[in-house]
Order: sequence, then C-alpha cells, then structure tokens
Amino acid sequence: MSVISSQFVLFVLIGILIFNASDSKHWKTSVFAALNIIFIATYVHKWYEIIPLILFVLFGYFVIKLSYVLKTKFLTVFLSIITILTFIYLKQYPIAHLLPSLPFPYVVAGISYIMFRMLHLSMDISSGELEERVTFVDYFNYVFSFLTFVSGPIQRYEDFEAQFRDNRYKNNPATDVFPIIERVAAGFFKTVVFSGIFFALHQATFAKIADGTGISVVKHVFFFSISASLYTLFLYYNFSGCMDVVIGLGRFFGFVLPENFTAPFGARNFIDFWSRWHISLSEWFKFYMFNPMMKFLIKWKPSQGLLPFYGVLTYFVTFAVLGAWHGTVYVGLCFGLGVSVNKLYEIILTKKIGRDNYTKMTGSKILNLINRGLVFGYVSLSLVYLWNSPEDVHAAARHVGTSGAIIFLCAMSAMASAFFLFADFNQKICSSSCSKYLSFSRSIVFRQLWLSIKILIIAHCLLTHLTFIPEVAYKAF
Amino acid sequence: MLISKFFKQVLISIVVSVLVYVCAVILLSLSYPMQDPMDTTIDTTITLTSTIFHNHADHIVLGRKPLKKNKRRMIFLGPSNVMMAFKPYEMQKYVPDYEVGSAVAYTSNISSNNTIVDLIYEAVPKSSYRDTTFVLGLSFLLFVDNQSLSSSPMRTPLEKEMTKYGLYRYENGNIVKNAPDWLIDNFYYFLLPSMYIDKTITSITKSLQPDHLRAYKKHLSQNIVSGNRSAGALVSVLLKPSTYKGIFSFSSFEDKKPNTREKALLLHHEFVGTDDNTINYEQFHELETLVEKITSHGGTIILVQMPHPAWFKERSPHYKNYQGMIEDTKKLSSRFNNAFYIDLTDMDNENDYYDTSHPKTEVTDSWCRRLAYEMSLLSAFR
Repeated sequence: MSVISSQFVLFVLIGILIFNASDSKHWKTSVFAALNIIFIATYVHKWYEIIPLILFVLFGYFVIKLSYVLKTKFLTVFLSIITILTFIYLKQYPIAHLLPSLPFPYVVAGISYIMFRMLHLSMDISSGELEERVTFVDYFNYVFSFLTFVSGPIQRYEDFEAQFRDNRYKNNPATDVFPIIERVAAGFFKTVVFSGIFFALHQATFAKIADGTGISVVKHVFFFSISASLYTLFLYYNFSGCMDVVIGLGRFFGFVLPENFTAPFGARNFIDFWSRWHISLSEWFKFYMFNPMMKFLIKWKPSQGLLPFYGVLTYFVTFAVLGAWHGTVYVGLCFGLGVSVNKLYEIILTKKIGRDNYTKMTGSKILNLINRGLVFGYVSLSLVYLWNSPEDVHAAARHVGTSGAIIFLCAMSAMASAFFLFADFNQKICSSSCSKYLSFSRSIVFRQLWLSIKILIIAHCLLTHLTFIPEVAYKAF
Repeated sequence: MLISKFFKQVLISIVVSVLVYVCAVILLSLSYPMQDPMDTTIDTTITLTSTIFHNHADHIVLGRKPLKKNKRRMIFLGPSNVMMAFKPYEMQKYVPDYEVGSAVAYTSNISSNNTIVDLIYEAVPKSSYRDTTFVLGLSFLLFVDNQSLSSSPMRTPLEKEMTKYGLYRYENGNIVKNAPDWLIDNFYYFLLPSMYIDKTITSITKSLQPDHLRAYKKHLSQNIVSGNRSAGALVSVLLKPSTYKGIFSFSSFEDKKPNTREKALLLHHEFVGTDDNTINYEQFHELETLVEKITSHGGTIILVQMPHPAWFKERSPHYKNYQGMIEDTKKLSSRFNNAFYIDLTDMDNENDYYDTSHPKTEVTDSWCRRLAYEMSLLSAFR
C-alpha cells in the first residue's frame, strides 16, 4: 500500500477511529500492532516473501536481549557489523553478489529504516543510555510502525515509547486539528501534484539528450542541467510531501514524529544542507557514526592541531557511507567529498581571515545567494547517479569534458541562485505590501476554501493520473 | 474529543470540496453550454464543438454509460464517411425497432474498431448482447495497418485515450482494466470541470488564431488538447523549433498547386503508407477477429461496403488493389451466422460527394433509406 494513495488514507482513518476508541495502553498497543501487520501484509503476495524480513527483525531482537546481558563494546560492534552485513545481503548491494542470492523474491520495503532502528536500540542499550526493558510487542511496533515503515522519519525509541505511554495528545485543543489536516493535505499536494509535474518535466528534458549521439556539448549541458535540477525538485517534493502526510497523521495516534525537512534550499553550505534535508537520517549518522569515530580518533592520537582535520576525515567517511546507503558508491563519494571539502574550506578560511571576519563574510546576502545556488547545484550533481547508471554519467562526462562539467555545475547553481533571488524578493514585496491579503489568507474561511480546493485537485490527480504519479522515491533506499 | 473534532473537520472539508466542485461545474457549464452526450445513446456524430469531448475516441471511452440499459441497439462503426452518411437521428426513423447509435472514430482502422467493440461489450449488459447489431462501414482506408496509423508505440489512437487517465493499462501487450466499473462509468462526471476548462481554452485560442497559423499549430493542439496532455508532452512540443517557425512565416508552403483530385489521391498514398499502393492483409485478419467476436457474443454484424464517386473508382490505385479484399470480405461474411454483407458501391454519382468518400448533407437521408432497405432484405431483419 502506497502512503500516497486513497487506500492508505482510508486505512489510517479507520485506524485512528479504532485506536482512539479506548485510552488503555494495552488496547492501543494491540491495535497499533494489528495496523502494522495489515500494512506490511499489503506488500506480501506469497507468505514466504516476508520470512527474510521477519528473521532479520528477530535477529535484531536477539541482539537487543543480548545487549541487556552482555554490555560489552566488542559484542555490540560485532553484532552491529553482522546486522549491517545481513542488511547489505538482503538489499543485494553490488558487493552482495559475491554470495548466491535467495532463490525466491522477498520483501525489502522499509528494511533500511528497520536496520537504523535496530542498531540504535542495541547501541543505546549496551551503552546504558536506554535502561528500560523493551518488550517484544513494543519492539515490533517500533520497528514496524506503519507510519514510518517505508521512508522514515527515524524516531528514537525513547520518544516513541514515551508518546505511546503518555498519549499526551489525548485532549488536544480544537486549533490543533485543522493545521494538522492542512499539513496532511499539503503533503499530498506536494507529492501528487508538484512531484508528479517535476518528474514529468525531468523525463521530458532528459529525453532530449537520452540518446546521446550527435548532440552538441552545449545542448547536452543545457538539458542535463535542467533535467538534474528538476530531479532534485521532484525528490524534495516527493519525499517532504510524504513526510508531511505521515507526521500529520501520526499526531492522531499520539506521535510527534521528528521533522525531516527544514527549508533545505535555504542552506548556506553543504554541511548546513544536511541539517535541513532528511534530518533524522543525518542525526542518526551523527550519533552513531560521526561522534564515535571522532571520539576514537581523539583518543587514538590526541592533538589540538589535528582536531579540525579529524572532523574533515570523519565528515568524509560518515557522509560517504550515508551517500552509499542511497544506492551507489558514487553518490557516497559526492556527498563525502562535498561535506569534507566544505569543512576543509571553512577551516582554511577561518585560519586565514579569522573567525570574526569569517562570520561577517557568511552574513553577506550576495554571498549567501551564491552559496545557496552552489549547494543546490552540487546536490543536483550528486543525485545524478540516482537516475543514471554510472556508465551513462561517465560517458556524458567524457562527452562534455571537464569544462562542460564545470559549466553544468555553474549553470545549475546560477539558475538556482536566480530563482532564490526572485523568491526572496517576492516574499519581501508580499510581506510589506500585501498585509491585507496576508491577514485574509490566514482567516479560517480562506484556509478552509483553499484546503477544499487542494483536496479536489489531489483527488482529481489521483484518479486521472493513476499511472503517472511517481512512487515515494525514498522507499527504494 | 480530539477524534470527534478530527472527523468533524474532515466532514466539513469534504462538504466544502463537494460544494466547490458543484459550483465549478455549474459556472463552467453556463459559460460554455454543451449538449449532454450521456442523453440516450452513444453518438459520436454529435459535432465535437458542442460536446465536452476533444475527439471521438475520448467520447467513446468516457461516454458509454447510456449503453448500460437493456435495449435493442444498432451501432455504427467505421471511418469518417460512415459518420457523415449514417447519422443516428436520420437512420432512426428507418429502423424504429432499434435504438441507433454511432461509435465511429476518425483516424481509425479495424484494430481500433475491435477495441471499440470491446469497450461497447464492457458497457452493454450481457443480456443485451444478442440484441446488439453492429454496422461496420468498410473502405480501404479502414485497412491501414497499425504502424502507418500511429507513430507512437501504442497500437491505436483509441488505446492512447484509454490509457490516458489510467482507467486502462497495458499488461503483457494487452489493454486491461485498471479501475473498477463504477469509476469508469462515472469518470466523465468527475472530469467535467477539467474538461470544461480545457475545452473553453481550446475554443478561445482557436478562434483567436489567424487562418494561416492554424495548420502550423495543428501538432501543438493535438499534443496538448487531445493527445498526451502530460506536462512532459507540453515541454516537448514547446521546445520544438518547428512550433514557432510558422508563426513568423507568411509564405505558402506549397511550391505547386495540384488540382483537388490529384491532391486527394496523393493524400491517400501518404495515409496508406505503402510504396506500391497495395493494402496489407494485417487489418483483414483483424476483421476476421472482429466478426468472430461479435457473432460469438450472439450479436449481428453487417459489413457495408461504402461507396465512392465514379472518378475515384476509376483513378484510385488503392481502390483497384482493394477489389481482391472485397471478395474476401464477402466470403468472410458467409462463414459466420449473423454476419451479413451489403454492397452500396453502386451509389457513385459524383454530385453526391464533397470529395473522395464523404456524402453531401442533402443526400444522407437517401443513403439511410437505401441502407435500411438493403437491411430489410437480410434474413436477420425479416
């Protein structure tokens, strides 16, 4: 069952009704478990397809139980490595082809996020950060939560369990409901309408150069830039829309799921970008990869002078792994290089001009606009490997050459900067001269009308483009 | 308390959405009044400009709801000359025992008509299969093979319309339903506001165009209005230099002006697509499938050999090459029960025609009378 579908909405509406029929924790736990089972069952065509996933999850529970008993770092690391290797095998990453694959198709939807949750639990338990006992039902509900099963966000177990237990949103004031519904509708609108349009435009512009033969370098670079930019926009609207839907609907189950996006295209550098894009994932990597690695390096060779460079190395490794998780090593390399070079640049420039001057410089509006464009351009460049095979990308790079590649990056960055300038200008004009319109647009009448129009457009698109709406992209990772 | 507020808000939103939708339909229908195509029967002979539909294929896919009723029907199929010659309202008085309809689609071949018959059988109740008579007007233009007819990977323009809204999809090379029956039957009503907007804008833009630009912009309107309406297609058309070339060109694009008859023969040569003017047998095999399908459903099919003006019969190489196929068609009709053949090719008075096949309005009533008479001689109608 796709999250962006009328079936999911109906499923959740019925689920909300049943879930909130009683305040008893036992009732809510059972109903939530039933909903999770039903949701997963929609991914299964034959009974044996779910076995590998169930075994993987059971292994995770075994690891957790062991972590309560044997709180040793070595064991935690060893079992985490086993978990990750099993994940790599089940997801059939290229390296997994060294081993024979399973002789039947099986469900892998959500396995990445399940792995993150399993690792987080085992590491927090073994380090003593999580002391309370995790029952099997609570573990099952946490790992298989239908709201976050397909594409996150990655919620910490402590938050999940506390919200479940407290049910602190039992008696929400009336004003809470409408904004939540607005958010869910906005999420559908982003995914169904915007991401659909951007995806179609991306495919249409790429089709101009897909053949590759006999195309001039200028044309190749031009259309590739536009296509890559459109793909980034598609991915953003697709994923953030899905997040709006699950975060909104989660409120009616008593969950405050963590935000995954905070204006990512307002990022002033690539490091800042990752504090705004897929936040729960970068937070996870920060806690469980970046911090331990930094601690290790500092312990291994304590040196004040080397400290910033430990940061560079750790950023590279962390974001290379994060990028590789997206599907290809090349994305990992791009992400890793982007963040580490960004950090290195920050270190060198701070050393050269001093921290105060650096802070002043980063406050410059023009520089910020250029930086935002560059971030967008670099992100679009990195994501090229998600919709092209590495061979095609390298063939295109050979065709356009180094200068062409640079022009490609500059073109995307320039387009993005120009667009951000226009958007910021528009916002400024509107906020200063459209105060009457703005106050009307905040009125409940306007909001209700706009919500209803959005619902109609969403319903129209869902029914008239049944073969057109792209699936939630992050489901594939 | 939260949940009751939630469901109350959901209900309010749904009610307001429905109200907005109804208001949109009312306002748009007032601004662009159109004939209701879902009145009594399927009738693609209604002028497209006075319906909500963009083309006949659209009309057939979305306008089948009237076929749901149990009735004795006669449905016309075939090329454009059938549409002009045998309009339901004219034919009806000569065959009062039947409800006459028309599912003729321009730019169709036998494959398309096979698909049309499938669509009709989807809508018609099973108990009415035996009471459904198809009248297929035959002309060599109907035997154009699929590759010549459509440059897209899809087999026919009709299939393009079927898959446009996701109501049908491709599976293993065949078109299958992708939506429940109730949605397909009522999809027309759901699409109304969107179709009104689309049609209104099309009409306005067409009426604003100077005459000499219409031909150059034809492919633009085909892509956006009636063909692939996705954003991708729009970008694709807007990025073509040829889209803009004609706007600034005022010179005639014809070096010489052959006379009208020569031009018509040349047009046929381009349309049929074979170098030696032969008619391939691909579509004849489709015709066999069509006849077998209808007769196995218990229905009746009448194959009507459509007439052409005498000059055309003398001069058209395609018509000459088509004679062999006519003989095969006569034999085909005798192989099946409830398959009949009517020959109208003797109606070849040149003054009755606009062009190579389409009759003038003043003679269509007599053509209907002639056809009804020929039908009355058939065993199924005695």
